[in-house]
Amino acid sequence: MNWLVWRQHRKQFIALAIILGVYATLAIPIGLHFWRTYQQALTTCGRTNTCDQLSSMLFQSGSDSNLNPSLPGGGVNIVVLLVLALPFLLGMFVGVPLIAREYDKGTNLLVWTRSISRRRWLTAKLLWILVATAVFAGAFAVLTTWWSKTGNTLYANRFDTLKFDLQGIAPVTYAVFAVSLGIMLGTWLKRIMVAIGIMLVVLLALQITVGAFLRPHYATPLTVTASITQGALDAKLPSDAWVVSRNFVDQHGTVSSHPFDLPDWPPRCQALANQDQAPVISGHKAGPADIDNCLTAAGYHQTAKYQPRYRYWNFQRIEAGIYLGLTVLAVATTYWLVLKRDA
Amino acid sequence: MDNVAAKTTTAIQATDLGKRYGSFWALKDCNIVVPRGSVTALVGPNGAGKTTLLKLLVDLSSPSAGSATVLGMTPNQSSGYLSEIGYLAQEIPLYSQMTVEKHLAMGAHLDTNWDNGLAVSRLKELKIPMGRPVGKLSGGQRAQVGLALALAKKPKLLLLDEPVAALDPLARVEFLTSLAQAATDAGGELTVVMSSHLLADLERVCDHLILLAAGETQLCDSIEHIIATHKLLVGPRNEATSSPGYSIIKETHAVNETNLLVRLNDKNFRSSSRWHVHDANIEDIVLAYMEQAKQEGDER
Repeated sequence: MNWLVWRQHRKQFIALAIILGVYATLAIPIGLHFWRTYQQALTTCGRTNTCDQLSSMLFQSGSDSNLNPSLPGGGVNIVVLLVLALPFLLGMFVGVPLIAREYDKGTNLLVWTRSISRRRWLTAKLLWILVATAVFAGAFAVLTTWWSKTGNTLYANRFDTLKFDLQGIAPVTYAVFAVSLGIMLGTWLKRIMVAIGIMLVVLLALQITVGAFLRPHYATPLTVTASITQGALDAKLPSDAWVVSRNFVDQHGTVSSHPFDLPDWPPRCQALANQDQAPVISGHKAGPADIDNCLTAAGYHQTAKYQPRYRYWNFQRIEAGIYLGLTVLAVATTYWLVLKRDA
Repeated sequence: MDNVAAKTTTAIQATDLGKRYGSFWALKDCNIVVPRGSVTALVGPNGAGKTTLLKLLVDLSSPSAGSATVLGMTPNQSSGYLSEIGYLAQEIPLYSQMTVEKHLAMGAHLDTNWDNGLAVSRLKELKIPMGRPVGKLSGGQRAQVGLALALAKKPKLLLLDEPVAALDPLARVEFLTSLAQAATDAGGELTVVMSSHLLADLERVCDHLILLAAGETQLCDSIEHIIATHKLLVGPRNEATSSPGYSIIKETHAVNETNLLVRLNDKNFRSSSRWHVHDANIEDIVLAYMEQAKQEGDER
C-alpha cells in the first residue's frame, strides 16, 4: 500500500519539498540579515542611550508588528500572506482530491476490490498524507518562528494574529486540520470543485471565529486599573502583553470604552469639557489634563484586561488542541463514509 | 471457512436480495443460484439492477433486504474475502496516468495470490504496450488490462460488469475469446458472472443465464435447460391459447396465425395437431421475458 500511495502522490510530496526549499532559501538569509542588523544596532545604541527607541528606529517603521517590507530583501509581507494561506492551499491541492478523485474517476472501485481491506487502504492513505502535511507545515513553522526572532524581540506582543497564526505549533495543526477537512469534504461530496469551495468557506470562518472570539478567552485575562491620566494605563501594562480590552469606569461602576460615552458626568467636569465656556484655572484655559484630574477626583478610573506573554505557549497548546480535536472528527467521518457508505 | 465453501457446489446464492435508494428499489426480491464453475450471463434492460447486484456481491454496497452468500461467505471488505473475487467495474476504471506495467505492480503489491507471470503473458500475447499510460490505450486494450488485473488475482469468482459494452465488434470478440480461454484454463475452478445487454455475445461464452427485469429475477437457469423448457407455438388464429401445459410469455397475432412463446410446465406436453411446436433461441426467449416485464411495469 505504501508503494501505491507513493506512486499516486509522489508529485505532491516533491512539490511540497520544493516549496519548502524555496521558503528556506528566502527565509534564512532574510532572517539572518534582520538578526545581524539588530545586533549591530544594539551595540551602537548603548553609546547614544537610544536602545528604548530601537524598535521604531531600526526598520524605519515600528508602527506595525510586521517587519518593514521596504527593507533590502523585502517582500516579507507577501511571504507572510503566503504562509498564512498555506493551510488553505494544502487543503485544496492535497486534501480534497485525495479520495474525491478516486470517486470521480471510478478508480475507488478498482482499488477497493484488490485483496486489501478498505480500512487498510484508507489508513495508509491518511497516515502518509497527514504525517507528510505535519512534517511540511512543521518545518514551515520552525522556519517562520526562527526568522521572526528579531521581530518577536522588538515588537513584543506575540499574540498578534500575524505572529500567533504563523509561529509555534498552532499553524502545524491548522494545516493538518485543513487537509483532513479537505479529505472529508471531498469524500463526502465526491466532487472536487464543490468540496474546495465549501472547505475554503468553512476554514476561513473557523480561523476568524477561533482567532477573534475564542482565543482571548483561553484563560481569564488579568486586569489592571489606573487613574484617568493620559498614559497611566499603558505605564501599568507590561509592554509585551496582549491587551484584550480597555475601558473607562465611572463612580457608579458603569463601563465604557470611551469616557464621553459614560452617561453621568459630574457637572463641574462637564463644564471643563465644554470648550467654549471652559473656565480659566491658575492662568491657563482648562485642558484635557484638567478634565482628567476632575474625573479622577470624582471617582473615575480606567481599566484594561490583558493576556501576559508567559501564557503564549499555553495558548498555542490550547489552540493546537482545538484543531487536533477537529482533525480527529474529520478523520472519523472520513472512515465512516469510506467504510459504511455504498461505493 | 474455505473448506466448507470448497465442498459446496454453489458459488453464489442470493435470497430475496434487495437494494433500495430512497423509495426506489434498484433491485428487489432477487433469488439466484449460480453453480461453481459456470459462466453465467447476467442480462436485463438498463436499470434492471445488474450493476447493483454485482456491487452487492463484492460489498461495494450493502443490501437493504435479503442476503447473499458468495463462496460460502457473506460479502465483506476483508482481505480474505476480496482475494477470492475478481471484479471488473463498468467502464473499466484504471489509473489513466499509470502505465500498464505499474498497474501490474499495483496488483503485485495489493493482491495476495497475484500471478504476475499470468498477467504479463496474457497482455504480451495481445501485444499491449506495457510501458504506455493506460489513458492512451484503446478501449479494447483497456478492457484487456482490466481483465488481466482481475484474473491475475487468481480469483474463484470473477464478476464482470458490462465489460464489452463500449467496445467495437472486433475488440468485443477478442475480449470474449480471452474470457472463454481463461475459464477453460481454470478447469472448473473459476466461476464467471458477466452482465451485458448484448445477448448475442453472451451465447458465445455462457452456459448459464440470469435475467433481471423490472428489478426482479425473471430467469435463473442453465441455458440448455431454458431452451429445453421454452417453445414457440404456431397455430390458427381465433383459438383459445391458454393451456395448463404451459405459461404464455409472449403472444403475437398475424393475419391468420397466432404465435406463442411459452414456458412448458409439463415436460411431456403435447400440443394439439393444429399447433406446430418449434424450438426458440435464447435471444427470443430473453426478449419475450423483457417485453413481458416491461408491460407489467407499464400496467403498474
